[in-house]
Amino acid sequence: MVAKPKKNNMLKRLSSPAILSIASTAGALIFTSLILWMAGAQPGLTFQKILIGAFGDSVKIANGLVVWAPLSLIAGALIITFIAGLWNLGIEGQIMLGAIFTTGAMRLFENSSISPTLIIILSCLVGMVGGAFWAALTGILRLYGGVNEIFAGVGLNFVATALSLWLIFGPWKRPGVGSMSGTEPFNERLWLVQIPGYRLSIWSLILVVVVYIGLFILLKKTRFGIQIKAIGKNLEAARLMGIQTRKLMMLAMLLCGALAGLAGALQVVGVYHRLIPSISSGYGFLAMLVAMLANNDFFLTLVVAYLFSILNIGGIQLPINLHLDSTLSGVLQAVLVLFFLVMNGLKQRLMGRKERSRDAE
Amino acid sequence: MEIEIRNIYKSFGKVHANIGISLTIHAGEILGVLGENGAGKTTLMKILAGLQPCDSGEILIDGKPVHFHSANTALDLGIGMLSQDPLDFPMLTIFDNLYLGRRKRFFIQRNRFSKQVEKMEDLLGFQFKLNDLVETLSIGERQQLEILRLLVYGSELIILDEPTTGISAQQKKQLFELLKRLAGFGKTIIFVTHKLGEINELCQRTIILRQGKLISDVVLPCESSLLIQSMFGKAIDLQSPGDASQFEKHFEIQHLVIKDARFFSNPVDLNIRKGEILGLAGMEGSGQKTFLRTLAGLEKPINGMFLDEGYSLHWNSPHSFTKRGIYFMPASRMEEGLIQGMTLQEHFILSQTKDDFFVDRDESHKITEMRIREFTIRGFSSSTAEELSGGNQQRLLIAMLHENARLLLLENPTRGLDIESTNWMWKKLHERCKKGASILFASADIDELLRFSNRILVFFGGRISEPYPSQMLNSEKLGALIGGEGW
Repeated sequence: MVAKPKKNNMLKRLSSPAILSIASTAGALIFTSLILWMAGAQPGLTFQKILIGAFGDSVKIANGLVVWAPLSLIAGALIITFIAGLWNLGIEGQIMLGAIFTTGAMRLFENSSISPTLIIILSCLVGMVGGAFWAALTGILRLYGGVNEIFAGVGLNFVATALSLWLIFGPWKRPGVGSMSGTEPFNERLWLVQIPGYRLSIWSLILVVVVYIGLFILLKKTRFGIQIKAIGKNLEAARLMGIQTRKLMMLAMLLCGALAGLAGALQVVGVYHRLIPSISSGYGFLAMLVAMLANNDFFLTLVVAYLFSILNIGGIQLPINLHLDSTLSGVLQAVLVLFFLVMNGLKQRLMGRKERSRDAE
Repeated sequence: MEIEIRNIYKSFGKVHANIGISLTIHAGEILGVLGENGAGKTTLMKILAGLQPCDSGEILIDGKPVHFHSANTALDLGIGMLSQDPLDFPMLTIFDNLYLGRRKRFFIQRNRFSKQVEKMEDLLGFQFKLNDLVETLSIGERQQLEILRLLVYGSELIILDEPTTGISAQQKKQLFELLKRLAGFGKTIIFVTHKLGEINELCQRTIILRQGKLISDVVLPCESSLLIQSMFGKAIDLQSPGDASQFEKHFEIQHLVIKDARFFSNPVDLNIRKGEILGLAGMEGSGQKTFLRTLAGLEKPINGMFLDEGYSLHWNSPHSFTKRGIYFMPASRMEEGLIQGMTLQEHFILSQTKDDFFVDRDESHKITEMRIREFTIRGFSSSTAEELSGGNQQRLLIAMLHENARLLLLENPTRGLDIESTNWMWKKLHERCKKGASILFASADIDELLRFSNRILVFFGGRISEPYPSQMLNSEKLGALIGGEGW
């Protein structure tokens, strides 16, 4: 029997993702202020500096978007695996492999007569294959080797880092000596077209929009979307319903890997124009926090990703202005997520208590 | 030690597990506790062993009322219970396992305790090497180890809950000898089972529980038929579902050997006919579950073929089974059947085996509304599965079985439904049969099995019987077969 739908709806509305996000944001700001105050800095001034650092002029705003594009792409990719119940911690490696494959393709085509646009598109596609390949390894280990995807992914992250370092200091090293600054930059005609005066490329923004529309349709409107949701919520029931759980989980991994690979590819063709060590810039783990904070909601993911981008860009100014470490924005981000998870846990306890008292009636 | 139980009541929600049970058990006695699944045997034993509090009632030891706060209090008072599955730590040594439950001392007194154990071992004729790992022991030996542990801790009353489920005939003989010897020392034994033969073999007296009540208290030996009647209640006059042997052959099972956690079955050959209903009888865990899951392609058998009108199905590909119209419905609703957090509409989308890429939400909404009405589910297409009550969840599960199903494999399809809903549900299932679907269903309810099946397969301890036409059975005969008699 559906008991008291009205009351239940009220409770649901009160604990909706948006309200939770706002409440945890407030909590995180207060907590971070406390830390700042203990460190002897003025919280108000610090936040002001962060905002100026992020919105002070049009270049800074554009820089925020430069971070936002890959972060959104990766968070979107992660939502697929999260919904399928897979903790794809190997996302960092998948981004790196995307970047590595893209660099490889660019190096291969660099001196050919193919048009630059085509080279960039081809290289990005190769990057997607690279990311999907790395995700497939995690998937195979999980689905056929019985290795938890968390450990498989983390292990493969190390391998990916080692692989990129080996390439930068070995086969792909700059003429002369290899250096931490990466491989030889590509010819400027192979750079993703940027808005004049900014580091931002309009194409990465367009890609984010296209990918999100695609993801929304895929997860909300297709059988695949409903099936992976079922897998994520109850693997055994899904299996007993005759859903091809392994195949679909593998597909979810491949899709996620491909999108992560695309993000890595964009970092190569659009931002760094070469392969650098740790090209993922930790965006994989950051995106994981974004997706968690947004509770796998697409619109909220875009918003939260932007919030995190602002914090990242704004934080850069802190050491110069206030002699605070720029990792402070990392603290803020982490505290935000922890607050959200706590709020979520509290909500579930609250709901659970209601549920139990209802059963006892 | 004399134990007296007075007027024990215990209920779980609306289910009354124990209703006013009173009983006296004397020292040196071996008491049987008999009853079908859900009769309240295990609940009563758990109360007695301090593992569960009762709602009301008293327990007296040697005339003095006692209160258990935990299993440890019961153990201190000399009551020990051996559970259905060994509760030991296979990775630890025998010594550690024996020592683990001891409290009070911080440091291990290895020598003193070893001597104590050895003394008890001599008495019982056990020879355990205390430094061996428990995982090297057989199930029967692990049982002995548990008994040894309880005795070392000073148990005067030992409760055994279905101890013969996982052990061989030889081990069973040894166990019975041991129990008789313990009774000779003045220990009291309570032996819980649903197997009639064991009761007559081992016990001097047995109580029979049915639906939470103590039905009778019998001195043994005694006629099996009398025990069966007490166990299952009076047989209700049933209309026979009739003979289906003239029906068209539909599915064919050849030399199927299934693998359960505890056993391999004997090979089964079976023809399933169009429109036929086959009942699977047996105590829970006798292999019916594995049998159904194997036929659904969810588990791989050891051996055998499954032919669908001559086409041989590939094992271990559940998807290809559903494609051919073979549907499975699990017994545990929320754990295996439905998905928490997903709406009824999403459930109906999932249960369709279409290969369309995009889902037509409008169409599926219509289908959902239709099914909700047809199966009188009290809920909305946007309700999530966990918002429904148990009975309505069961209706949802049945409503999800595909229209064009050709073989339905159902685990306890009417569990949790009242009599009226059960009859209605069977009316729905009969409609499926008229359309040519065959049904295999497992049930713990003897009346239901006799009333609705054309033929019945009986499962007992890894053995699967030939199909009995249900006209040839009555509740007493079937009850005996389920209890392992008359094979």
